[in-house]
Amino acid sequence: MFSNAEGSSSRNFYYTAVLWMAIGMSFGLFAALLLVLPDLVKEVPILEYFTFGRVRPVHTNLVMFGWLSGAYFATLFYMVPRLAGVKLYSERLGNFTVLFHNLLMTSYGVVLLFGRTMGREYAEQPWINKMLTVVMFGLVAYNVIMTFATRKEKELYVTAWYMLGAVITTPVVYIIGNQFLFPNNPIAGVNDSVANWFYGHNILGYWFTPVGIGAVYYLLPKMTGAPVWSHRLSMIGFWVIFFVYGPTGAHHLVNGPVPYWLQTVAIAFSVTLIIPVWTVLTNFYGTLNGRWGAVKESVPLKFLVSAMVFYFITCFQGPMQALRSVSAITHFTNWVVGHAHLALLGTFSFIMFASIYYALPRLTGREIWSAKLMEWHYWLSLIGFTLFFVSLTIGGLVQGSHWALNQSSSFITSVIQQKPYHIARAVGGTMILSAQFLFIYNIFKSAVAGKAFETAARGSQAETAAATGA
Amino acid sequence: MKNKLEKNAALLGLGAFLLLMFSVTITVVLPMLQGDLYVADAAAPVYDDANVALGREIYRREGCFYCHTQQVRTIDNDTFWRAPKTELKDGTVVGDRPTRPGDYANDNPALLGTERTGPDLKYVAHRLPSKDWHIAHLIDPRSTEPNSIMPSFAHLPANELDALADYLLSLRDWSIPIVTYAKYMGPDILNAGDEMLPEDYQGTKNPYKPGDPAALARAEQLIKDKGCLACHGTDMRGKNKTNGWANPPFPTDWYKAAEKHSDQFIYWIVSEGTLKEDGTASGMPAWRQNGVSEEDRWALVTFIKNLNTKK
Ligand code: HEC
Ligand code: HEC
Ligand code: HEM
Ligand code: HEM
Repeated sequence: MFSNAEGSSSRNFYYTAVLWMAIGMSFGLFAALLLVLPDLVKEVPILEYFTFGRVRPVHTNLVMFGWLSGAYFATLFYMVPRLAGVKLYSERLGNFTVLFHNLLMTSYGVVLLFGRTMGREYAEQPWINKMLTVVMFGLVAYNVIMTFATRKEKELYVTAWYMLGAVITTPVVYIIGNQFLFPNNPIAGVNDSVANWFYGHNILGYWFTPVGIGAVYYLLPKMTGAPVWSHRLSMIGFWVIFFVYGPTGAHHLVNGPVPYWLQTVAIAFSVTLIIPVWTVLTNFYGTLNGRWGAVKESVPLKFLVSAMVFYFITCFQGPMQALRSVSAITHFTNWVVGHAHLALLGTFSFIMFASIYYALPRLTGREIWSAKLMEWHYWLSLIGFTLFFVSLTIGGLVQGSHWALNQSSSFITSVIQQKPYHIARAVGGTMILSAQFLFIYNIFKSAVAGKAFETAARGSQAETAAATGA
Repeated sequence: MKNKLEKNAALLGLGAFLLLMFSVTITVVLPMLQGDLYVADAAAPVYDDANVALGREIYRREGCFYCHTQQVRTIDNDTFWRAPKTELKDGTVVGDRPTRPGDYANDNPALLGTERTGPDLKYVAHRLPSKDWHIAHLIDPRSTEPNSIMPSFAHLPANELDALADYLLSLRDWSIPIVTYAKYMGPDILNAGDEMLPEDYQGTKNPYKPGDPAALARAEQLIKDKGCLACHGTDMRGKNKTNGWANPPFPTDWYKAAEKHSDQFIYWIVSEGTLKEDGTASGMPAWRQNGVSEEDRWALVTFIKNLNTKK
């Protein structure tokens, strides 16, 4: 039933992930429209049930687990074998995981549309789906670990570090943060939120960050033909991320009803997070230095460079907004929504776009169908996202300062003031979503009508080792 | 540089795992062992009432917590969201403070929230103690606040709206006893007369002359801002079963009120509402507690009495 062809599971994961992206982002745009036109679904049969509070978690779950995680699985299945110098341990199991992921994501969406939520952000799924999520991460981890266990390439390149670290720790984060998957959530009171944000933050720190950064370390030398600027720096970055990311969960509850010491620990570690980010960025620009010409030619590289700029802003914002004084203004506002999209959309989704453009020709043997559409995809995404992010960031500051100046009285003024920013966000979102439809069309046309991809450039294992300098 | 660690995947995995365990220990296990985080404060809501518990389920199901927080932070910016400062009979002062862990000990899940697209609701029942107000607002938020971006929940069945409203009324500081000057008149307020006036309201005097144009203009604005007509009907003729109001007390026909009742009486009801003394029943909100000043309340009275001159 399941194909065992080399590269098939990676390709299939990429194909289905982009579909989840279209669905998930459409729900995002729907949520954005509901904030502008609150009576949009009123009295429309059936649709009237899908108010903002139901649509929003469908959006976050599908973009984070359907799209971004799906693309990450594909990237793991593409890069890990090449780093290990062998085939993927089991393509058949990989293809089974693709099917499993798609069924599970369907269930994710349906369950949330029916309002069966646990009421915890990013942990909304009922326990059966949580069990299945752990199984899914477990299947991927097994395939990745077994590929490394049977590897021919003895040196572990830094990408391999990040990816191994991520697949080992993510299931642990998930299980602990979801209160050991008990159906009735044994922890009550504020510790429920503490556990929730341990998970909510570390799914970002141990899953979305390391796989994305690992992919950058893989792609950059490939695309520029130059080895990573400093191998040692990249490894320092790895250990610091895995050390300081973990204890920062409570920075989502700053000034809130959780123990003061816990907030202080979280804030201190958040500030330290500047270090690993700085190692990544230094390495990135060190590698690119002198090769900026290549960026002009290549859309995937443009995506990577933009992603790194956004990563820089994210991780400048992050430690700042963890501070008690800054959080006093930015917490609870649209500023944080801007930050969340800057990281997950501007940084990690952009990195995945680059990965797809790089990997798909090597997986399918066909060139990307239209270079022009690639350009359009990039520019529409970039401009749309910039509008999205800038409006939310300014909007957040307007909101936060209104509350500070009035000690939260005359709240409704702050709602009225958000209107232009909500509209601008919806316009930006429309541009981003349109860009993704062009992207999907391009991928589709590449699969059915792409020119043959030259085999010389096709990712042979020997070439991998050479370019990564391992 | 080519040290052993770089070749040993198992060691690397173990290292990453141990680092994660370090943070689990300090940020999950330690707070879980901190016993005082589980001791319920006298102020903490309890969910014995099945309707309140159901309301909380619906609050979670409809994702209200994505727009509404339930936490008052330890900073001045959140002062407005605090419960009112109240002195108890034994002299202790409660209310007027940020929330703390004991306030949530009975909550599972804890619905602290991360966005304030709408107001904080931790103590909303002190600001808005009328169940009818909540139901009217849930059915059409634009009727009480024209600029609201909250979704309409008109599609929910009546029993769920009732449960939601009961839950919203449980969102208060439970150590503060409910006291009101209000009186529930029974199903028809129009039969009541000036003899019901509480002492504080006897002998009050309307500072405005009948039909004072400034007062009328001010009142018109207030009626729009405060959403009076969500209950009293756009024609000010009141609402009853035939035009969408569930149960008595039915919002009064203002024309009839103007005919039957004195300025003082109307001033009293507009100020204190008609909640039962334990605050459980419903009816007309107490506008004195909802940011309508004395002058403004008299302006409203002038407006309503002035309806006598129209037909
Ligand atoms: C899109 C975000 C959004 C959602 C979802 C939402 N609200 Fe609101 N809510 C608001 C806004 C904005 C206001 C302020 C304007 C107003 O009074 O309607 C508000 C006001 C309120 C108020 C009045 C609070 C006050 O102090 O004036 C209550 C009570 C309330 N909402 C309850 C709920 C309940 C219950 C739900 C879920 C069934 C809910 N809200 C869902 C945005 C939202
Ligand atoms: C949540 C619904 C609701 C809102 C909002 C509301 N009312 Fe009422 N009102 C009622 C109900 C119900 C009664 C009847 C109370 C009873 O019979 O116990 C009433 C009664 C009255 C009366 C009758 C007093 C009398 O003399 O008979 C007046 C006057 C009045 N409201 C004025 C106002 C004004 C002014 C506002 C706006 C600032 C307002 N109401 C907003 C529900 C509401
Ligand atoms: C078309 C593009 C998108 C649009 C229009 C959009 C819109 C939205 C909206 C309206 C919200 C709710 C914000 C609120 O509560 O006020 C939201 C939240 C969120 N979205 Fe998106 N989104 C888009 C793409 C994405 C992508 C690609 C990702 C991740 C891969 C993502 C991740 C999130 C997350 C994590 C949140 C929660 C933010 C928070 O709680 O602070 N979004 N989005
Ligand atoms: C230097 C690193 C970072 C720090 C110190 C940091 C800090 C923070 C803080 C303090 C908040 C809470 C803001 C508030 O609610 O007031 C937050 C929210 C968030 N961060 Fe970061 N951040 C960093 C990087 C990242 C990265 C890399 C990602 C994505 C992979 C990310 C994704 C998010 C998301 C999705 C939220 C919204 C959570 C929510 O409220 O729903 N952040 N971050």
